[in-house]
Amino acid sequence: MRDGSASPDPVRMSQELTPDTTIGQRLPLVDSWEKVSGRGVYIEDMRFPNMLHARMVRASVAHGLVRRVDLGTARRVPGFVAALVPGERGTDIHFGVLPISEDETALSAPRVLYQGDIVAAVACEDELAARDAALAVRVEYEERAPVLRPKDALQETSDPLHARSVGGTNIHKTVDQAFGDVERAFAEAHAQAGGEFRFHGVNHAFTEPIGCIAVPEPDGRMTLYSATQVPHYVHLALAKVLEMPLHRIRVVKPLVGGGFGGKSDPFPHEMVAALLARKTGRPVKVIFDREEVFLNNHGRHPTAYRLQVAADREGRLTGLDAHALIDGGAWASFGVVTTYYNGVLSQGPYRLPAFRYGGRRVYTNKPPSGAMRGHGAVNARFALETSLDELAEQLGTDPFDLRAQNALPPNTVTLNHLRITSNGFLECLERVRSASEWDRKFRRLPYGRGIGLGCGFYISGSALPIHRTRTPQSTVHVKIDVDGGVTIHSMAADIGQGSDTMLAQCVAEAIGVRMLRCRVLAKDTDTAPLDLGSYSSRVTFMAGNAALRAGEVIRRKLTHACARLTGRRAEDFVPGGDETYVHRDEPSIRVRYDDALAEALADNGALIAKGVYRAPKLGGGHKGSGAGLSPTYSYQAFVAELEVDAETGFVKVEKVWAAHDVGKALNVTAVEGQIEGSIHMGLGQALSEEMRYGGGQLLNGSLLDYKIPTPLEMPEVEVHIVESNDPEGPLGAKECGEGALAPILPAVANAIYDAVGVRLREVPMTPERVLAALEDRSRRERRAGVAAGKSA
Amino acid sequence: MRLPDFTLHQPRTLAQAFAVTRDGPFDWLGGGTDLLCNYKWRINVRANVISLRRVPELRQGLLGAGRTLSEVEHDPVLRARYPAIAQAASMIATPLIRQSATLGGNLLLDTRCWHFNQTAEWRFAHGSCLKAEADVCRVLPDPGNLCVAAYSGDLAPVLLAYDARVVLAGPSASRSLPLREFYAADGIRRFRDKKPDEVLVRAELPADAEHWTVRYQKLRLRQAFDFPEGGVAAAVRWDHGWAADIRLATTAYDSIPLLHEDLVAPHRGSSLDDEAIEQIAQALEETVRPMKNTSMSPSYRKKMARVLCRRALQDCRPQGV
Ligand SMILES: Cc1cc2nc3c(=O)[nH]c(=O)nc-3n(C[C@H](O)[C@H](O)[C@H](O)COP(=O)(O)OP(=O)(O)OC[C@H]3O[C@@H](n4cnc5c(N)ncnc54)[C@H](O)[C@@H]3O)c2cc1C
Repeated sequence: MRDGSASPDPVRMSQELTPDTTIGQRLPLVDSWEKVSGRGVYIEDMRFPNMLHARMVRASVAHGLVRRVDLGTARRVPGFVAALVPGERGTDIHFGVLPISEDETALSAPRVLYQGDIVAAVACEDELAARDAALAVRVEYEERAPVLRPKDALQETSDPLHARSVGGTNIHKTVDQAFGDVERAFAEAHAQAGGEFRFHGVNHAFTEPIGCIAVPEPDGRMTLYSATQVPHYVHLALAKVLEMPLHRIRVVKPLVGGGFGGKSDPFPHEMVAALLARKTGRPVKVIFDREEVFLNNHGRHPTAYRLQVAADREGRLTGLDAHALIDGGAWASFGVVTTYYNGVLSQGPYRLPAFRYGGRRVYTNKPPSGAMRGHGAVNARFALETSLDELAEQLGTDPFDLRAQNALPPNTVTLNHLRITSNGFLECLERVRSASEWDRKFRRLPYGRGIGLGCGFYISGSALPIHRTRTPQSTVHVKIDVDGGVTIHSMAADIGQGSDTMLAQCVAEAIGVRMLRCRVLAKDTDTAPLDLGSYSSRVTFMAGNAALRAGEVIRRKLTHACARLTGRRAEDFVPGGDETYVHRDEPSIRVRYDDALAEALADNGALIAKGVYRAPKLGGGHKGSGAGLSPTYSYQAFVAELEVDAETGFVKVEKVWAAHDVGKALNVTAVEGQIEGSIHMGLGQALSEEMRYGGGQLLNGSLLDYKIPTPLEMPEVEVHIVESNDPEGPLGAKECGEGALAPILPAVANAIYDAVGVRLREVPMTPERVLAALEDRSRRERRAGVAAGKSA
Repeated sequence: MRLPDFTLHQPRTLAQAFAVTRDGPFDWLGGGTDLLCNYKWRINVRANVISLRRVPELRQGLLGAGRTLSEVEHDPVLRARYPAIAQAASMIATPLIRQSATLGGNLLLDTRCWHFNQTAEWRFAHGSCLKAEADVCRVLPDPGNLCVAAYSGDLAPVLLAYDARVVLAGPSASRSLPLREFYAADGIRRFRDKKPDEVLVRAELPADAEHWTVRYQKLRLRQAFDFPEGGVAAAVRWDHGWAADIRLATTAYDSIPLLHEDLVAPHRGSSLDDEAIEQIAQALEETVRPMKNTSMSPSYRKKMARVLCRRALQDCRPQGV
């Protein structure tokens, strides 16, 4: 029998699903009962004896040097127990999610880099006392001029914000890539389109505020319970900051109320909680309020994007030239990846013979930007897809035709060496074109009503791990003992997206038992094997494959037991429904799962198995060639139909048709939920969400002033699931949780153009901006004395 | 986020309520959906909070101060006879908030400003303002010691358009006054002569209210949650096709809800045709002076005054005209 971990070939069973399969069905998530009944346990619900409450003392200036931290009257607040101030051990040890850019510390001292940066912390007997004590702490700053505009950050400075920035500036990361002859493409272009685009910063605005509890254990170990997407990276950072070996630290992830990339870094407050727990010997809890969530941010980067795309007379795309100036805020976070993704992810879903990209990510004195659903792809995608709309118009082609004509074929390699395997892009286009009755509506709807297309392309798991180790990216353990239940251990982080359900489905399918038998324990680094966490849309693809392999190993143990019981060959037994194994040639020979299990357990004890996933080696050799590599990619085509109120600039999106190549929908309900949720989130960025600042101060750090669309703003969404059955995906599956966000923004912008004839290049496209564009157009038309294009 | 410490009093009669006012600094509490949000942010917290929820007098009458917005929104009499009131109520905040929010709290809603409705940490970092812990205004360099925070209640303009009265009760006497004489143009003082220990008991509509057609238009980014960035209520008393009388009221454009008598006066007795409506709408746009202290820009809010006004007046015209 082969050990699952040695299996080099992907497990693929989409053609031969078991009779009782859950694959492709509609299932509630395994944790939905505890969630909807209010019994689910989140950080906020957890209490430990003797627990303290910590509150961060945050910088009141955007940039400065901490001269003095005066606890003063904070000590006299009843319930005050301890404080953590600059200079204390561990507070200045650097950590960060990417080993190449670890620039965060538990406390920001001596230099504070944004208003809201953590300078000190207090721990008190209760939350109210902690708040009062934190307010009482006095910090003296020597103020420095803040760097607020990204273009200022490009300048050389005698006083860079970070020691390791590029060449005496505040540039954090520079990426320059060129493939093919871009100059010639533009010189010879028959048509070209593009412009300058501006994207404001947005926050994930997940429901559950960030929080953690650090518990010093009696044996000297440290346990951190944290609402995180990346228990493993938190684990590594804690080991560094606490100067303890990994095995002396345990990270536990309870239920997480949404992450969207906003919980995918190890954070300073987690280090602060652990340091305070070590100092006091007591459990320490931190719960952010909403404003702190906004200040902690790590949301989508504010970005200025410049893009030109060229085509020849036949409508073939000949070149793409893109430049991004990306506002990273105070810290590095995932910024190196963001800088690459803003370019490299524009290489699909279209064939491009020439491509140039220049990206600069800068440090500014604002809350740090980081990874957010659709990481690095969303802003760039907007620029490309709206420019393609313009290009189609210039060429006199339909936007669908232009895209179909230029679609990357399956099983090919892009200019920058992305390996393309399964590709359902054309089917996505066909599905929404007919469902939306595009040909009847496009450019034919009355003034004020419009329809637009936006497409997308996204990674399905970053092939290159963040840390250069040879450890598999996902490992899953499965155990079955005399109770017959199937226990699945994994560190894949369910953050509400349903990965626990996915693991249970995969294992149940591979073994051939009902999903109800499965219980997923995916939360504790002491018991679960390594998984890199929930980011880069990697979990279904990677942990799913690992789960299938572990399940396969178990099934082989069980079919061998069948063989012993029947005297037939193990290979001939297949899942036969109703939790039996049946002989494929002699269907009258059946062995019940319970009997097979009893036989398998005899003399052996519990069945245990392991499955792993490691991405294949991919990519070219150029600098930065690792960025954007993925074992496969997802594809989208979305159409939005909307109404623009030309007097007020209000946009009401009425219907969205969303086709997404998900490889294979393991759970239809979960897939639809991801796509609908992505559209809701994308519409927020498209139309209303924006982090606004007065100087360096965040103005709208609350859910009243930060405008997430309500259900009333949400259009009807018709999801079209396209299944290209990825050859390496678990049962054919690939990602659907991030790629589905980007296309909605350009679909809306293109529909606004169709409705009222103005192109918006600043996002969010608020009523004020839409109205300003309309007024601008009327002014220009009045000046020109002609009415060009569509007008009222 | 946790509420700060205070003592909650829950009197069952007005007399009991007034007795507590002698205990020291206090705030009246309706549903708390305005006051307690400010408390959480440590804004002007007082030691005593006196809830009016259990005082029966406030729940009496069509427009009792203690009725919830949800009750107002769904009240069959209001919907049939004064639909603009039910409609305006239905546009406030969210369905959940309207379950607790009261009509009284809505009329007495505190004024709002981007420099004020922020956490304690935010305000302290910023230096705070007139309306909270400091003595400077962050919106205008020299507001003349008047606070320009925006009055952002949705019911007041509609009730002004109906020319409603309010009934107040104090420890020694009750009184009634026109709503148009209730507010003061100062985001801190807010009321002309309401004494802190006076309670709003109810609002009352004039006898001819049913003869008026009243419509309300609200500017806000989202169809729920958001306070008005501008609000216009228009009222017309039609007489055989003529607009015998017209009223126009605004909210969110100033620190006070305002009745704009002189803008509509020239059109009384007219047919209120498109041209007349456009004149009024344009005049309103020129009149309002929104400040830079809410989510949308003052110039946009000003422009929208015209659109809101036009739409509200057009809606007042009999169907089919
Ligand atoms: C997210 C959110 C959105 C909102 N959106 C809107 C909106 O769109 N439009 C809008 O108008 N409001 C909005 N509000 C504000 C508020 O919910 C409503 O105005 C509500 O009607 C206030 O009523 P309340 O009973 O909760 O007031 P409370 O908070 O109880 O009181 C408000 C003020 O009135 C005083 N007060 C209350 N009752 C009396 C009385 N009988 N006599 C004397 N003084 C009294 C209180 O002392 C306090 O100063 C919103 C609030 C939130 C949190």
